[in-house]
Amino acid sequence: MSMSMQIVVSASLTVLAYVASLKLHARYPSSITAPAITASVGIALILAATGIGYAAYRRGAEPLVELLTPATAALAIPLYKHRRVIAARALPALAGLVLGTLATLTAAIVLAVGCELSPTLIRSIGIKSVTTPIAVELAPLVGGDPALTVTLVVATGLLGAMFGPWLLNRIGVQDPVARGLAFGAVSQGFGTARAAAEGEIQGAVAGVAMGVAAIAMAMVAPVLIPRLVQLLM
Amino acid sequence: LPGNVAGLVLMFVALLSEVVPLRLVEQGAALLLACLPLFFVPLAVGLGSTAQLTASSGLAILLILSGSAAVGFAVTGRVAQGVARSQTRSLAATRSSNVHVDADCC
Repeated sequence: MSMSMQIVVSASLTVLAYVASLKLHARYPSSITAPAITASVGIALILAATGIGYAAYRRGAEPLVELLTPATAALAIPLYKHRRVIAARALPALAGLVLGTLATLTAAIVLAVGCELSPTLIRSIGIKSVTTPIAVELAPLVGGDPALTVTLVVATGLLGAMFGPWLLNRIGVQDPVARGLAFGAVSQGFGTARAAAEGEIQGAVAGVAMGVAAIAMAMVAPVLIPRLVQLLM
Repeated sequence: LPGNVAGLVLMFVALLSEVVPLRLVEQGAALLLACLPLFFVPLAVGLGSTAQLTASSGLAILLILSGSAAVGFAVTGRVAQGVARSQTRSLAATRSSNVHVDADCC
């Protein structure tokens, strides 16, 4: 298949599956039917049935994935519109972000050590809440595996986008800034997309939280993760 | 700094400094944001194809990822909301019942 043909096939398959998923979600609203999830499952099944490999599909879908960059940058618009509300919450936001990021990292490593996973896997799991482009760079620095890290980052993003809203409701977190922070800090891009669907403030805060958490992790993880693993093993 | 975060910061600075007027970018941004989950779909499809990589300890990994994400959501959300509320006690009226119970316990 030629490259342009691959793009046509992958892009139309993705958009059609997404539109169908939106309709499904409108009819059966639930975290399980979140459009990104049902569309992905549908496409995976179609790829398996037709024999189009994932590699070929992914190459064709590259232009769609590239749109993630401007779409994330577009979060600057709601951030700007709600800048006063968000700035008023700068201190609690920073407190939540620092403690939440450290708690996620510690919980992940404690659980991974407890499950007696391989050292590479434990270290890759430590950085799974960092946005993909930074996580990939960070993986070798903490003794993790880049390819494995990407899988873990995507899985964490999906889990957070699916069950995060339910959990936040359960524990009484209604403040839009606090919700956005949790989505961005724990479930990076997928969480940010989910937060943006919830509201403008949530989406804008999630985008900023994702960036700040990733930069902070890039600075502390190479020191913190090996120490924490050593301490627990 | 990854391109998306750098772009967010640059765009925000451009809006603040009024180099770019809001009305020029507002509609385009709304369209991009509305489609945000769509752009993640190809990445999520890849999850299935790399699943065999971690098949041996798949269940353990799923539990670890879910557990630590739950801890992260709870700590980030509760701390941010808790500190915000102690900052502005006037918001007490909007407290949910279960947060209220918790605050009484402490």
